[in-house]
Amino acid sequence: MSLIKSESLTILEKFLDLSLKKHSVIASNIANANTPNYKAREMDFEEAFKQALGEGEDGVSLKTTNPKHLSDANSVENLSPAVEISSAPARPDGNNVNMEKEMVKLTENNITYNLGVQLISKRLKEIRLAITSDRR
Amino acid sequence: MSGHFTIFDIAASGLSAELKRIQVISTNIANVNSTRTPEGGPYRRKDVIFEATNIDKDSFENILNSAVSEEDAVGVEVKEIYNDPSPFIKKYDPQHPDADQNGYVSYPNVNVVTEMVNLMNASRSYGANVTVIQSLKNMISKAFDIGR
Repeated sequence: MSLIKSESLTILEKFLDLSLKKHSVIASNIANANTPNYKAREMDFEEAFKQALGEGEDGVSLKTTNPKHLSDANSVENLSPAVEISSAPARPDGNNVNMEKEMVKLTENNITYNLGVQLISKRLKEIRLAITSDRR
Repeated sequence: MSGHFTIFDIAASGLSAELKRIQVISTNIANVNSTRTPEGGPYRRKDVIFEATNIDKDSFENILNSAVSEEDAVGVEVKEIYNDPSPFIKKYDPQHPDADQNGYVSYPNVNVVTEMVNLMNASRSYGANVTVIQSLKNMISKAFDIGR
């Protein structure tokens, strides 16, 4: 594992990627808030992410006893959480988008994305510190 | 990495569809008392049909990425503007030039209250799509600051 292409950066990159994907799912729901028979789509990437990192509900993760074992970063990199069709009760026109819920999810996801950006920046600062710390 | 721009396209499709709807609603409200039209007879209320569509499915990028289809992210478009077939509103006014032999005038089948409710709904939805664009702009400009 090299310094620059470290595991945590790979994971954070994927985090931003997925959170952007989630944004597009929310954007579709909002754009189609008045489309008859449209069913809201949901994507819970946070849960899938937790599981891939071995922090499932039971809090147990797989042990790697050999460097060749797939690491957490590997399982995160190939993560593509499913987009599910919401089964919430539909309005008379067959649409089940809940506008308030979608707007909250939009704000939430915006903050989640900003969190990922901050974490990446922090990580890069750490790397920079490691590179330059002997020049003081 | 076309993610950002797909979201812009989705929100833009929502904006233009809702704007079209507002246009149709304003036509209905403007013609609430029109008893004559070029096609003859009173004005008939119009409404839009929205349809979920895959955003530029024919674009080069999408064909390139066809393995990771963006089926989950869909925009919206106005599929059709149809004429509402409900009956006209009849008012008794024998003096009116357009009155029939029984003295009734057919007025457009437009209910102003319905139109106002639809108008509010459409403008709220328009605003929601604007919020999506603003939030995405915020996310992108944050991403530009990575490593700064």
